[in-house]
Amino acid sequence: MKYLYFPGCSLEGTSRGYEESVSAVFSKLGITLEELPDWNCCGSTSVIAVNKVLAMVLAARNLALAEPSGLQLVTPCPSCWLELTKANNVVKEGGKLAEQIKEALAAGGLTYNGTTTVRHLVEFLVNEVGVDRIKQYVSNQKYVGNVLSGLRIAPYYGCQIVRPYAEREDAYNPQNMEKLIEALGAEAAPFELKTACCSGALMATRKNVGLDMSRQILRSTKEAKADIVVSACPLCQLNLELAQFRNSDFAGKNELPILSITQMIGLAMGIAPRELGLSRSIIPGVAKTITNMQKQRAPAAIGG
Amino acid sequence: MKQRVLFEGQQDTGFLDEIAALPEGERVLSCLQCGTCSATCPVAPLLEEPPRRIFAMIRAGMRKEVLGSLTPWMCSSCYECTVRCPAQIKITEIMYALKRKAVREGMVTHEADAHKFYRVFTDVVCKYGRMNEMILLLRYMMFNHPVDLALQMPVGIRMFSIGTLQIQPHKVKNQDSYNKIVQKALSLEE
Amino acid sequence: MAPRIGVYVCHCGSNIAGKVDVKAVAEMSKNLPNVVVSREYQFMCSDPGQELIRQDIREKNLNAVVVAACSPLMHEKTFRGTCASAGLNHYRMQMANIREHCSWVTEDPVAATEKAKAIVAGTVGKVRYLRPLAEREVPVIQSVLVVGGGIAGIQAALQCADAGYKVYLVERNQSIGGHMAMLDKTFPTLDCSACILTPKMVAVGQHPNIKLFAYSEVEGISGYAGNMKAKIRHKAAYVNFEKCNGCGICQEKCPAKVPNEFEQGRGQRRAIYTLFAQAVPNKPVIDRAACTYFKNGKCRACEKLCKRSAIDFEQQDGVEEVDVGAIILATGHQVFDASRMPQYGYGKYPDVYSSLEFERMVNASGFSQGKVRTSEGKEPESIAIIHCTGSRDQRYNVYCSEVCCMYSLKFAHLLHEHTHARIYNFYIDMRCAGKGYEEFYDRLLNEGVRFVRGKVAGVTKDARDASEQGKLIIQAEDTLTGVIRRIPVDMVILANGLESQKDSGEIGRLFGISRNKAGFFIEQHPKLNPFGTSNNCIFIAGTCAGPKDIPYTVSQASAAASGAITLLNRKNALLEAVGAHIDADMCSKCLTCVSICPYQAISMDGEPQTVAVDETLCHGCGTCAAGCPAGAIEADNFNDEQILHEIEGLFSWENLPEKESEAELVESGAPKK
Repeated sequence: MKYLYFPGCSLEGTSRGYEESVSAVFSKLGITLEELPDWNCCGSTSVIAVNKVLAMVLAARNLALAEPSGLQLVTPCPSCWLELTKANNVVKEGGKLAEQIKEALAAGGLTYNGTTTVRHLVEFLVNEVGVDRIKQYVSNQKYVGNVLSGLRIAPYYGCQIVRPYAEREDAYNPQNMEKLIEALGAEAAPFELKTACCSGALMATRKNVGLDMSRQILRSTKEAKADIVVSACPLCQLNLELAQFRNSDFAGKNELPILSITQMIGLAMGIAPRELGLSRSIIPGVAKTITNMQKQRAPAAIGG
Repeated sequence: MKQRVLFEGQQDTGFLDEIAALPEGERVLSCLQCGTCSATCPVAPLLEEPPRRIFAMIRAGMRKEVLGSLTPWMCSSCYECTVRCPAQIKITEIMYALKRKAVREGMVTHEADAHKFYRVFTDVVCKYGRMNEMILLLRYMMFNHPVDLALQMPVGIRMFSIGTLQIQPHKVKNQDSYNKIVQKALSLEE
Repeated sequence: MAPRIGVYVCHCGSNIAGKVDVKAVAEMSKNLPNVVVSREYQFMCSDPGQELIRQDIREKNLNAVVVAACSPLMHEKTFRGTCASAGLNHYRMQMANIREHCSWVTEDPVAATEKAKAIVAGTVGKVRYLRPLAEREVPVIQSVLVVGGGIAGIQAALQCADAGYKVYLVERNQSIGGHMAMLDKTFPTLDCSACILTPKMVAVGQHPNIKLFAYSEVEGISGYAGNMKAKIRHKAAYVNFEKCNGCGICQEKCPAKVPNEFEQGRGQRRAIYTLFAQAVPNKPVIDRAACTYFKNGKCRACEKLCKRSAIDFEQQDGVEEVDVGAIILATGHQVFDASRMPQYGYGKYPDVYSSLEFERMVNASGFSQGKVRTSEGKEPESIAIIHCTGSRDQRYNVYCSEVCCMYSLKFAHLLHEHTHARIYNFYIDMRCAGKGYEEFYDRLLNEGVRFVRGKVAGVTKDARDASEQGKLIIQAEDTLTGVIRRIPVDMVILANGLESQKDSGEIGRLFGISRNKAGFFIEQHPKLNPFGTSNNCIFIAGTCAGPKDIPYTVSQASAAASGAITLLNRKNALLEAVGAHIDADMCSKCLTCVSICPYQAISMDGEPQTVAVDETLCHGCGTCAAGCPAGAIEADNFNDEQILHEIEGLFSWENLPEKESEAELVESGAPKK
């Protein structure tokens, strides 16, 4: 099966590691994710603060580009997924804004009829790829580097993957990430703030507020005795890392590796950390930190 | 001592209807002032006017105070309020609308510099088709938080060393078609 | 005899006269064929207005009347009464609706006047051919069926029984008492609920006129107004109620323990059990799913111990039919399931309690013997009560459940009595509208309860400072001071709203009663007849008709009882005279009418087989007449002759010759438009 892939702007920049891990994992799974040709920025939560029609049009352009192929459009970024879904809903419901979107697209020679399906990566992994398929790659764990069992991984969902729409998921107590964590043999460490806000763009516009909000989340994961935090969103991942970088409360031996969902899956599948972009984390030495943890817990698991 | 009386004749008594007339404002008249939105908002404890109060002020016709408030600019789009509002008011979307209105009517205060962030973001996307984080942060912080920019150097250096600082903006290929679409969209905005 | 018609055009104040030129309509009517007198008047429905009609009937020998006014739904009954009182068969009166069908829906006055003229002319055309009809009287069966044995059903049953009528009270649980039996104290008097309820329960159990069918359900209703047959299923209890003397030894010794539904799952009961100590009837039933014998063939301890040999494992469901004249539905409500609001932690955190769970906790005969303790057995230091759980919410129930503010105050008071805890009530509005209710609120204010006006966003265990560790933290905006507050508590009590029973749809269909969007039964008129329904022999009472407190429930139950008693007291009910008649010579027995009749009033039987309408069941809706392909069915007041003349009349008004005859146009002296 082939799918179209919408990386989103972050994955080309600060979340390059996420992008590399998506590539590596899907390549190993044998699933083709074809990057949507000539995609543009979805607008995220920023353009809509300036210009509503433009925001919807930017998102809709991508939907229009995807439509002719009839393939599903998968995106790893919850904000992209939300904006694309919002634009999709507007076009499907019809009305004034839908007409404006169509008019704007037509100016550039594009049409959109509302038939593109957009999915976000977490839900896609659980429902389309399937937990069982992922498990197959995890069953033959020979090397310490693959073994996640014995490790407690905290699933951090953040906001836009469960609110305002929770696709095939419980908005208050989502479980998709727990399912993936457990499929990899690790222990899920759900924590009270697993759907709380990391502060999003406030980390740039009001840094102190942003750091405070992200640190609350880290504190909550520590209360749940997490070894690693896995995130569904590139900005959440960055913010949780920034909240630790050069912060004495969290730096040094208190550091929590923050992995993207495919980085976690890739490790368990036996893909080398380098290929998964672990070195792209702002926190230095993530791969080593994890390996040390694995060495401590894994030997029992692999009988070594 | 300053008098704190709201003279009805000086308020914009049509403000509530104006917000209610927006597509986002569909259910705003049903607000019970229950306070769930404020209680669940992660930044509410920092705000002079938490979300519920903004709606109370809209009702009272306090246009200046609402559009000059920092509150919409502190919204991180977490959507907790929207999901929990018993009247199902699209609070987050209304916050976006207030952001747009505040800029258009020139009511944004100096403190709400976040609007410049969104402006730069939009300009970069309109120009290149894709966001470039370095350009965004440089442009925004150089003018608004220059000290902070200097303090962020270690992060910048780190990001550069791990290859996540994209210097060259990635452009959309179909520039002509894209520009036409953007121009048309801008012309349609009310 | 030649028709002699009187036409009366009503102004209805300015409702009609404000748009329609009523004088012109009366003027035109004078010239219609067979019209002997034509009048216009301010308010035809008033006494003087009606007197005009009566006088004309007597003095001018009218044998048909047309009242051009409002909708028949408003005043057909009134004017029929007027005619009957003057000696004219009331089916020779027809209303011409020139208000709802004309003045209220037409913009242009000229067009409205023309339309009014057409309508009146049509009605005059038809009324000539209306046949005099008479309602049939059928005897009303002198007994009442009350469905549901909560306080509403109990009150209604006692009222009817005391008035001398036989009552069948059907209750699906093995004891009557309903939700009120679960409560500890009732607001605002703080009476012990069981203490005020049980005397009524006992009265029901002992009343010679009440036949109590406990552990039973109504399965089917058939028949017609005042003559209904109810099929009742007696569920197998595996205990012979006649033999059982309620000694209770079986319950004591039964080894199987399961969660007790009466204690909201927080306590346990045995497989053979009575619902609560003061149950009426005080007979146990065996829960098949929990019983060791039914599950794996062992035990039978109850049978061995029972001195009256009352245990009968072979018992089957029984079915019984009773004849009744009136039915009162008092099927009650269910409580909102707070697990639908995961942010409140119900079901997730053990110390979040629903309203009923708390009632049972604080009740001396409940699972905690009246001691208020956390799930860890400690005395709580601080307690939160959350109002509006599931109510006033677009996502769950949009309506206000009426009783929650009051019972939340009651909870606060009980907690004040039973504990030394700090008590917080989180509310949006404080609704205390009944007698003594506002005073009760003031009492609570003076008991030192801390009121926070702010709907709780969520209950969390995420502690932000030392005082919050290990507690349930409530975050709410104190909207009155405008600050966000975080309040750590040991226990949370939810004020769950009231909802319609989940099978209210089935009950509605069974009895033919409509429900509103929230599933509550719809009353005949929300202001003037809140206890009647569209069926004049079926009444509703209590929370099945909407959330309400106990005084309103009891009042409504007595009202429903009075409705039933009024019906039964007359001994006869009048069946609507309008019905359908099948011409056997034209009928081809295609049976189309049988399948389309909404009241199942048509059937084919007899030797030789004929298709006929049962007049008692027929409502005169006309569906069969419209559907018959052979035109073999005639509906009273809507036969071909009548309708065709009405149509002719509609077009005749424009070119009427001036009449020279005795027809009078009488000026009413009413003020000009």
